[in-house]
Amino acid sequence: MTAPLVALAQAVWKRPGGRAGTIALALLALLALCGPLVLPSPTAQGDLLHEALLPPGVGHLLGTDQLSRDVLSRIVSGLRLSLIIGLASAFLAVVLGAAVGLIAGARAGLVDSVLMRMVDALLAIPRLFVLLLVLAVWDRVPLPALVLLLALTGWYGTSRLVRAETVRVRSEDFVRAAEALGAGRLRIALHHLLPNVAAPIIVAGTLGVGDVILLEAGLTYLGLGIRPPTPSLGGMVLDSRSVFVTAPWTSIFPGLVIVLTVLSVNLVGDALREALDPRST
Amino acid sequence: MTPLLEVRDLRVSFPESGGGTIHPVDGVSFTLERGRTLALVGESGCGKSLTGLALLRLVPSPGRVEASSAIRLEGKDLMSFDERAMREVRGGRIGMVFQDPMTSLNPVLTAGDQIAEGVRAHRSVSRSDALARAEALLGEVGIADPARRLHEYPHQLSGGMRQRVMISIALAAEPEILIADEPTTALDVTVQAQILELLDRLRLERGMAVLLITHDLGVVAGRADDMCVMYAGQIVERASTRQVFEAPAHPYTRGLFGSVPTIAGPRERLTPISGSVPPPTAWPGGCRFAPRCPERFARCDSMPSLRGAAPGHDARCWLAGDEA
Repeated sequence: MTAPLVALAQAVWKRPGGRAGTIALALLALLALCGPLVLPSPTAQGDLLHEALLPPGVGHLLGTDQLSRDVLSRIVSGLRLSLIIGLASAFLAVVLGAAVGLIAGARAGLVDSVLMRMVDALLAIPRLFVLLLVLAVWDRVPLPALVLLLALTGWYGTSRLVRAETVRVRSEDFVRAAEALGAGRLRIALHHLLPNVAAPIIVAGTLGVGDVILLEAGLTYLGLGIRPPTPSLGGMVLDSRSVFVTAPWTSIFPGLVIVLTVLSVNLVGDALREALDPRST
Repeated sequence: MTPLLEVRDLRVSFPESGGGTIHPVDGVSFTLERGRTLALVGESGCGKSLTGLALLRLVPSPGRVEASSAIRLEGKDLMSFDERAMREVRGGRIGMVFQDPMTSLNPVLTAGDQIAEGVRAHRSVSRSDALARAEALLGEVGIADPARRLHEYPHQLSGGMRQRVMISIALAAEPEILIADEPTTALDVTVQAQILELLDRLRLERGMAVLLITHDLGVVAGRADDMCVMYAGQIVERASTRQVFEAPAHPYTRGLFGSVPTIAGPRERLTPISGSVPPPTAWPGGCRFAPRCPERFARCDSMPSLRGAAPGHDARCWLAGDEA
């Protein structure tokens, strides 16, 4: 599997969008990783009278908020959190979705029907509604629980995608050849079906990261999700509503970082989709 | 001595959308002996490939092999085997090579991985031992530089090489029987001969029995010891290849020979068989070849059985043998 992965990375890099997205993501990840080493603490408050709502300048590159905290530091911390949540829950969601889709597609028959009807039912419940309900009841939800919630409500689409691909691959000659060789059901699923449905899984997983980051920012903006004083991008936009006109940097910069992050994730995702599409080369 | 493989009255049924049942393979019987090659010849749609799959009980859903069929491997009826025991047979005792090496290899696994998989499906050996075995097999099927090809993906190999890889996969667990389903149809003519020679050599070296499924009489000539001609799900002629080539007893077989150009002798106009193979839903009640047969007569309205046309030579035709 290593050679195809290298080829895939090269194909993404060859596309302008894929390259831009990859570079932007790498820079954002670097910022999220290394920023805290050089920047002041995101929770450190300065002199409330003289250092609150400072415009961007030498001391504070992106200014300070109404509690005189460094906006850049808070953005970096928020970004780190967003990336962790996005990657972790998109990964969990895609693993869950791929597992369900693979089982349904490979087993067919009753198992398939039951699993897919279940997914149909789950898809009929709006994701935001479920999340709002749970988060409204569960005050101060811990981070792992939030990640899990986002994952548990985000795998349905992937499972249908993977199931459809699995059904297609299952009828291929090489699957029959593997059966004729005496390969068992599990071996066929993991060895012959899974690697051949990897393309949609990779694409769904990548695009899922952007979705989750946006969803988390939205939930936090609604006052659910991540609670202060933990810095988060959505939370920063929420907190600075009242000073938006006088100190626009307090909300514009975190907003821009959300946009930039989701945009670059989606660029990479789209480039992956194109690279994996056999009709385009 | 019990024959290596004895197939009696093999019948495959598929439910029809209208509620009925069709039998694309309808009462096929033959015997395959150790070290010999038996050819199953017929046009597309005659049920020959399905027969091959049915021997491994791999008929695609919703079809099934009817319980009245008997597939005896050294006397043991495979119909009574459970799924686990069947997995031992598949690849372990009966290997299979498919028609199209382009689609029969998994595109994301290296040649070596796929051969090693065949080894490990039936032998408990380590991965590196299995790969070493795979390399030896690649050498045995005539691939130059097997150490390099071992780590290549199917798209890096030529069609002929891919078919060689397919063959080494089928041989990985040293089966006693090799089913080759149109092994050369998808290949260039020059490569076809090489692959057929390879199959012949492997049969001799390993003492395997080969069931060669083909539509090509040219492939059968000189390679198969015995042959069965299939038409519309049934065997219509069964004899040694020499007997069939010298004196084809069934009008369908004669029609097949009439459709093939010959190099020797005067140039003659080819005489194709009129009409086409009817689908299983439209088989006539009597002799299934009757509507296309130039020699049909009143008796063809009832189904003839496979009857002796000569010693060791059976044909499903009222005109065959002394009763005619």
